[in-house]
Amino acid sequence: MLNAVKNVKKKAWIVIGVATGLVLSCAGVVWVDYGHVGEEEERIAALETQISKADSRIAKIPSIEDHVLRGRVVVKEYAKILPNDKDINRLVKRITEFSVASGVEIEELNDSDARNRGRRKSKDPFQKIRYKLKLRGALDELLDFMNRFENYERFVKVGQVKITSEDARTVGETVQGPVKHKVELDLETYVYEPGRSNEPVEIKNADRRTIDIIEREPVTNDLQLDHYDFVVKADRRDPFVDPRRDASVGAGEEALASAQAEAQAKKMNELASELAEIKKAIDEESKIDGFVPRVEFARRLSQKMAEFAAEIEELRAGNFFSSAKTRDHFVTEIADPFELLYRARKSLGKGVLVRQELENQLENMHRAFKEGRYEDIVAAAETIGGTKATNVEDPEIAEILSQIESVSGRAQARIEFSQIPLAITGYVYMPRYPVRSVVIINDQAYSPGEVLDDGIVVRSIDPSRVVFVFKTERIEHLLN
Amino acid sequence: MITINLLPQDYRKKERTPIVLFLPIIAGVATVLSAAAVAVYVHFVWFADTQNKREMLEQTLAQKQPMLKHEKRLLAEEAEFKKRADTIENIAKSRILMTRILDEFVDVVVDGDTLGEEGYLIRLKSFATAPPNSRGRRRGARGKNAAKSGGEVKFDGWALADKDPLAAFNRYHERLQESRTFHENYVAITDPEGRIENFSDGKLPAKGWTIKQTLTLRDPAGALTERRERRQQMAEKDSGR
Repeated sequence: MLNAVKNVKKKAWIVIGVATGLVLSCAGVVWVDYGHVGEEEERIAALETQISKADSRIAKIPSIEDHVLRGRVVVKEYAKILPNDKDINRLVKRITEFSVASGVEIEELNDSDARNRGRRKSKDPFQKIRYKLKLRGALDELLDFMNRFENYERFVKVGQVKITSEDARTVGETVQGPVKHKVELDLETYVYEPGRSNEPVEIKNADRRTIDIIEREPVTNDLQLDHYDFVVKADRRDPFVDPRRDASVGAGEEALASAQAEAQAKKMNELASELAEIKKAIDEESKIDGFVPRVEFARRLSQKMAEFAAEIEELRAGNFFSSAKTRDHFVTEIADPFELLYRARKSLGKGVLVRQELENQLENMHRAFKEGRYEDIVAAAETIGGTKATNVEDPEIAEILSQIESVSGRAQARIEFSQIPLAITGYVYMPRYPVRSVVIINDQAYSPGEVLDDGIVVRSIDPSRVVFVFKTERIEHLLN
Repeated sequence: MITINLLPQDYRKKERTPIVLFLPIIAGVATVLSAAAVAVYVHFVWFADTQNKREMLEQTLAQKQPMLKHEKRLLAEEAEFKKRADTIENIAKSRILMTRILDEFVDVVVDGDTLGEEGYLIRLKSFATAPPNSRGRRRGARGKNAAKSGGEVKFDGWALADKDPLAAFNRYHERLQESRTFHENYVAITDPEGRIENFSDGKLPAKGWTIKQTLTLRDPAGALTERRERRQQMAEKDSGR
């Protein structure tokens, strides 16, 4: 072997060298390509991950589009509380109108924010607009003026308020008429300009889809502005006005105040006793036997409660209780507890409950009628009580009661009919002239249309049955 | 015996390559060919396939780009609309009904007129509201948990009484702090301070205790939520009956 190798010529070594070189080159190519393939596979794995993520993102697009469409509607709804451009133009007019209505005098108005609003470059779709006012007005006039803006259909906020008592600096001077104080007031609002930021994304069939989305889940604007209803309290002292009196004046006023307090206390006692009666009546209501008496009781109670509610409203509107203490007492002890009872009664829908109960009874009666349990029907009608005599105001209940009365009457008629002895001993049926057919009852012959002694009318005769009418009730008597 | 081949070289019988040489040659050729085959396969099949696959995936991803861009814009718009809705909600909640604040405050102030010996007679000189500071925290409140404020109400005036105006002031001060409006609308009141002032204008009462106070309003959103919760509780209680 060694010799053979030794004998290999130089040329052969060259061949071996070339072959080795070729093999090494191939290995090199494989090694390099292997490296590249590894890199490619890494890229492929990364791309596959990206594509999978992209697919999952794309799959969510319809749902995101739905959210966006809904979001557009929600914001549009929400933005309704804010004034639009037209409202802003009208707001100065409103300021004037409200000042006239409330009695305040506007001495100065700075609406530069409103006037310059078109010049701003900001992309923020919300712009704060402030009106600075200097006014003169009595306390109630000012409160009324502010309240009109706080209850305005669009969002307006009373920002800073500064009231300076007009006669405060001159303590001791007598002031005639209602004192008009100096007031500095800021009114603030925001304008919504949706076009200021980016254009909305184009969504295919946006209009139709928006309608579908809203139909599926209606947009409810839960963004309700809080309101306060200010009521002018004519008998309330303006604390910004000097309350002191001349040493020689005032004895009569105290007596008047005392009489007023006495009247208020008396009224409070009356209201408390009326409320106690209402509470007692509510407790007793469920214990009343018979539907109709219960309905009547409920009607009277509802009427009484409505009258009481009106009285409370009247006292509240007229500021009957002048001091805050009695007013608080009135609200916490009378008005609020009563309102709870009244609302509970309304939400319970007493009428609906009674109607349902009566409807159930009527259904039971119909079933009993089909099963021939006439005594049960009459007994049930008696339990309901006075269906005929009572003047029920609710037309639906009256209708049900009338149906109950009808079923009960029919049942009564059948009971009475069954108590009348009727011995049918034969009949002659004439198919060509059914009116000439004859039935023998208590040994007497009767044809259709003839009346028995007890007021029973023979209606028709056929081979299987005789039909009678008794007290408007149609009663079949089977033959054979 | 020695045999000598006298035939010229061309006529002599060819000698076979020795097996020891032939086998390595064959092995070498096979190795070279195999290596070449592997190299060709790796380069022109495996590597090319992988490249093709990658290019295809890149193309697929590129095709999805418009949709992804659309999704990105949608998400941005969704976030924008949520932000706008929140902004409008915050605007709505940020409103303090100044009519309520002033009206209820005046109620407490004049309430003392009808309370007889327990009463007080207050005269106001000025009343002003100030907005909350930039962070919406009340003055002196520190830390994340510090209660938010809706601003301040500042007022000054006199508690008027012929005898002991300080006592009249104290009665008013207590009543204010016990009042419903205080619990509903304010979080703090400054400590009382003042002095007796005598009036010489022939009117009664001739003395007054000066009042200078600051009330810190509650965060309107918190107060509103509380009011709504209370209404909800009342409604639930109501429906439970």
